[in-house]
Parts: sequence; structure tokens; C-alpha cells
Amino acid sequence: MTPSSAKSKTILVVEDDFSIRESLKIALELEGYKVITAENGKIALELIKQEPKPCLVLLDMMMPMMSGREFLDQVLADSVLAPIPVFVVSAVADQQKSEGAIGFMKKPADLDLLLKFVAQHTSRLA
Amino acid sequence: MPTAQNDELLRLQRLTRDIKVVTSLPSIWVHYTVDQIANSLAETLHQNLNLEFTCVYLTSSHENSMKAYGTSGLVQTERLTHFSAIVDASLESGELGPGPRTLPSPLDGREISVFFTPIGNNFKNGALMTSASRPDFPSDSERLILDIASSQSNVVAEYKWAQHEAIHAQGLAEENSLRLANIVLQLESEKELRERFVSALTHDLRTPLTAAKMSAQLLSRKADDPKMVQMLAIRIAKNMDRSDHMIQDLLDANRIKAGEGIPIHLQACNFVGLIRESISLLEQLYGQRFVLRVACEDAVGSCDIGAMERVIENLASNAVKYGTPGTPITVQVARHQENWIQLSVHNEGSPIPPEDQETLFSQFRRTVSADSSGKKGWGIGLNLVRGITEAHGGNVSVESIPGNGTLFTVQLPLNGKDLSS
Repeated sequence: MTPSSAKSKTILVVEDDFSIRESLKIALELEGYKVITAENGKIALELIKQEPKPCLVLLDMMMPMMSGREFLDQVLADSVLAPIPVFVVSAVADQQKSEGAIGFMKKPADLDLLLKFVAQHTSRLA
Repeated sequence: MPTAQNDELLRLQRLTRDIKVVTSLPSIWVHYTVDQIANSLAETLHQNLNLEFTCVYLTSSHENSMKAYGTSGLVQTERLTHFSAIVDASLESGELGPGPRTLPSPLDGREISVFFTPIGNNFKNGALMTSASRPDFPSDSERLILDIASSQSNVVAEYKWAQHEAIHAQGLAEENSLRLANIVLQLESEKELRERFVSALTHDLRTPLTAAKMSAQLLSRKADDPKMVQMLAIRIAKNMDRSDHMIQDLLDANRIKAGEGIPIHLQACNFVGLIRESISLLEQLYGQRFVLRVACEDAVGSCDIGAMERVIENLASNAVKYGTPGTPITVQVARHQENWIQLSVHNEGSPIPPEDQETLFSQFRRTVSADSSGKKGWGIGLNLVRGITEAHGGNVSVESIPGNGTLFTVQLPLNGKDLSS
């Protein structure tokens, strides 16, 4: 995906680690995405309810206040939010813990691979 | 044989049979208590020998004292108390034989013959006390009956001990079983703590690795932006240091667990400068969350600079983890008394319950609120903070009140003492 074709797409990054959150933000913005960030599931849940809705959520699992799992469960239980795809990026990610997500990647995640996945996914939505 | 002698013989035979019936039916004993069997024996003797008072005393193998298990003819009176006191004293001193003793009757005070027969071979197992108002008591035939009764009583005594042993053994078994259950619970709890520790360790070690790797991969994408390149390079270095600190924390936690102190190397330092520098580095990791308040001109002394940086980092990262997101974390440095320095780290958010505050500084102990927060921790950070602080001759405390947030305070002598050994 080129920056111009990604322009209108918003991605929500939910990650409690400042360095990782900022790196993901910079990398995605370089690709032309609009990025919103949250440092825990609780803030993410407030953001995802607002407009415009993100076309993808990159979600960490172990976070304070509200974990990634709790966030995902609440999103899936909400008929308006449930269609928004969630991709798990976590040190403890596995098939079982990521149930309900469209996929998962284990940390330390490869940025190139992650961006490739995001591009493929968002181009399908275009 | 004269009829009177015949009658006496028949009476003795019947009595002997009765005694044996009372005392030698082990199958019945299962359903009867020692008191009931001893009472039956006392009652049988009392009625057939025309006695005033009868009592079966048995020695407890555990208490090493005699206790009345079966009585007949004794009614609680003031005289009985006096009579019992004399008997108890005789039992205690062992002055029980061989002949009868003359004692005042517990009923009316008149003199009666009291005779003690050993249960079994000697008085060690117990005594059969019989008494009659006849001066010739006991006659030869009565002695024979009493001998038979005492030997049968020995069976009762043995049964009683066996029962006592069984109860004692059951008590021991229950005690051991309880102890075993506690050990199993403790082991399970330790296992759970270790599993949680490994899980948290894996997560936490991967976090700075991920941050460093992503920053490194971003470098090639932002190669034309010198400011960004510099920022990413710093971020890589800081995350590598973070990993290194975690490994160091792990090694030091093992030292503390093994009962060794944390080694410190005292160097000259300016505490205010050290804290400023630490906060600046923490901002690289956690963003602009920190508010630094310096309440003293300068604070020059000595400490292990690397170790103190870890104290600040642990307290600050805890405040980030457990404080309300987005709220400021206040770090204050001030002089305390004449030659001490005080560092405090405050965060807003849910208070730490008082019962958790007591175990907060123990290894692998995470508070219930920390566990339910979803944020994994190793449970060694505050243990290390205490270990390092105490190695300098200082102390650390926590204050957490609803509505006021949580405040950790470290007090150190300006010129640290090396107490690590």
C-alpha cells in the first residue's frame, strides 16, 4: 500500500509501552495511515466508540486497567464494534488467547512483517 | 462340705464369673466406654462383697497420673472431698499397700477399712480401691476375688491405654495430615508464584527487545531525518539498558533470596543531579509523565549511582504501571534531617490495601490489586528497592490512602554506608 492509498484509513494502536506505541505510530504514519493510540484497554474502548471508526486495531494483551483480552471481549460483545478487525501483537499471544481476533503476532514483532500484514488487510478494505 | 461353706464357694464362683463377664468381653468393649466397664466392675464388687465404697483408678500413660474411672457407693459430700484428698495423696505418694488402711468414712465419718489392690502386677497401672466397715476386711476369700478383679481390671487398663493410644495416634495422624496439606498448599502457592514470575519475566524481557527492534527497523525508513535517527538511536540504547537492568535485577533477586546482600560501590554523587538524569531517561521510555520537585539546593554525598538509578527506575515504573494513566507522577527530592536525603515518588490511582502494604517489599509478592490490574510484574522490583536502600543504610516506606494516591519514600544517609556485606 502506498501512503496515498492509505490516507483515509485510521488505525488504533493499543499498547502500554511508550517506546513500542510511539514506534508503531511513526511507522504507520510513514505509510500514510492516520494513527490513534491508547495505553490501555479502557482508553481504547472509549476511542473505538468515537467516529471515525478505525479500520483496524493493533492490540497488546498485557496492560494495566483493562487487558487486551477484556477489551477484545467487550468489542466482540458490541454489535456496532464487533465488525472492526482486531490484530493481536503481544509477547504472550497465541491462538487461544487471541480468540476473536483476525490474527496474532508474537513480540518481538518484526515491523516489516507487521506493516505488510496491515497493508494487505487495509487494501482488502479499499 | 458344710452348707455355709458351699454357699460361700458358690457365691465366690458366681462373683468371679460376673467379674469376668464384666471385664473380659473385648467384643463388647467396642461399644462401651472405659468408664462404663469400670463402673460395672465397681458395681459388681460393691454389691457382691457388701462394700461401702469401690473405685477403679487407672493410670494414664500420657498424663502419668491416676484417674477414677468407675465408682460405686460414693456420693458427693464434703466428707467425700476430704476422703478423696487422702486417697489421692496415697495414690500420688504410692503408699497403697500391703494391708488395709483405716480412714474416716466419707458418709458419716466413722472409721472404715480401705484396701488398695494393684491393677496388674503393681500400682503402676492403677489401683482398685475397696472399703468396708468390717475391721477384718478383706478376708482371704475377698482378697482372692479382689486379685481376680484387679487382674481383669488390668485388661480394662490395657484396653483404656490402647484406646488412648488410638485417639492419640488418630490425633497425630490428623495433625500430620493437616501439616502435609499445608505443605502441599505452600508448594502449590510457590509453584504458582514461580510460574507467574516466569510469565512476567518473559513478557517484560520481550518488551524492551520489541521496542529496540522496532526502533532499529524504523531507522532505515527515517534515514533522511537526522533528528529522528538520533531519537531512535537513543531509544534503542535505552531499551538495551532496560533489558540489562532486568537481568541485573534478576541476579540481585537471587542474591537476596540466598541471604546475600546486594553489592554496592560507593561513589561521590550529587543526588539532585542523579535524580534529574534518571527522570530524563525515564521520559524516553514512558513519555512526559513526570513532575520533578527539588526542595533543596544541592545534596552532595556518596552512593552506588547505578544501584540508585535502579531504585528510581523501579519506583517510577511502578508508578507508571499502577497509577491512573495520563495522570502526573511526582518525584520529589528533599533534605531530611541534617545528613539525610529523602526521595519520594507519588502516583494517583487506587490505593494499595493496608494488608498488601505489609508484604509489598517481599520477593515475588505482588498485591492483589496489582495482580488484578492485568499488568504483569515480576514481584521483585520493590524487594530490590528495599535491598539496595538498606545496603546503603537507608530505609523505604509506603503510604497509600484512598483519594491521596500512593507515595513511596526512600530515606538515605547523604554519605551512604556500605552495609551490603
